[in-house]
Amino acid sequence: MGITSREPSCKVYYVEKIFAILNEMESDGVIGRYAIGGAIGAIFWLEPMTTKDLDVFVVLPTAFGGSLLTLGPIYDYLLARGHTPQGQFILIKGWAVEFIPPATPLVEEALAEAVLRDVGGVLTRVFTAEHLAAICLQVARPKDHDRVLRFVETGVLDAEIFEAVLHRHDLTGRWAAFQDTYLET
Amino acid sequence: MNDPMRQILTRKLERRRQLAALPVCEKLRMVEDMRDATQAIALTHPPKPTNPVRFVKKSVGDNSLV
Repeated sequence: MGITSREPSCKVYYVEKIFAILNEMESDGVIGRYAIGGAIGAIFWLEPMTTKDLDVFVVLPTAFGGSLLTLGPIYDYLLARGHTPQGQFILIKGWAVEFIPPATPLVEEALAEAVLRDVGGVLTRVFTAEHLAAICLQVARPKDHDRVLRFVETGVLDAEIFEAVLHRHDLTGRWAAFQDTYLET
Repeated sequence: MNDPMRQILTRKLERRRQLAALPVCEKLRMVEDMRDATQAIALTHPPKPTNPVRFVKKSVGDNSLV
């Protein structure tokens, strides 16, 4: 039995609105290039899975033209528009949104090579499936291994591109170990 | 792995691929529904279970159960 789209309902959904806010922030110069990663990024390529937050990987502005990265302008911008901080997140339209600067060369590359996707008429940038899977391999928590397995089973990874990413970021050993543990030969 | 297990696994993978093939917008709305349902459960405080053993205060030294 196939899966069909549901009938439109009266409920208001907010995810697209958050993408629109992120686009505004980028065009207003509050943030640099951004891309969606984490579980929500994975959902662009995989089946829906439950998550409580939305990870936005972003080139952050630097303080006073120096080299110190700061979240200050992002908080100022969003708080002035009625959104509220909650721990490391900012609550936007009911979603806990976290702004994360790229911490590794792999994430920097993922951000640079992120692709545009249309979500209900709103364009947003998202990490490629190959980069998301490679990041999961690098982070290597149990839930990350589960996600890599989902990427493999869903068949969304381009083997050539994925292999190239793994080579560039020294992850071939981890991939071999993952294959030994989780994949049938 | 026996045949029934293999069939279950095949069905799971097929279902996974069908869900993955849905429009992104649709998938994100499903996630938002799941998140709202989870929050609704978290906000519901179930009643405390009934204490099966009730002590009734009687005279001093009498701790018999009712």
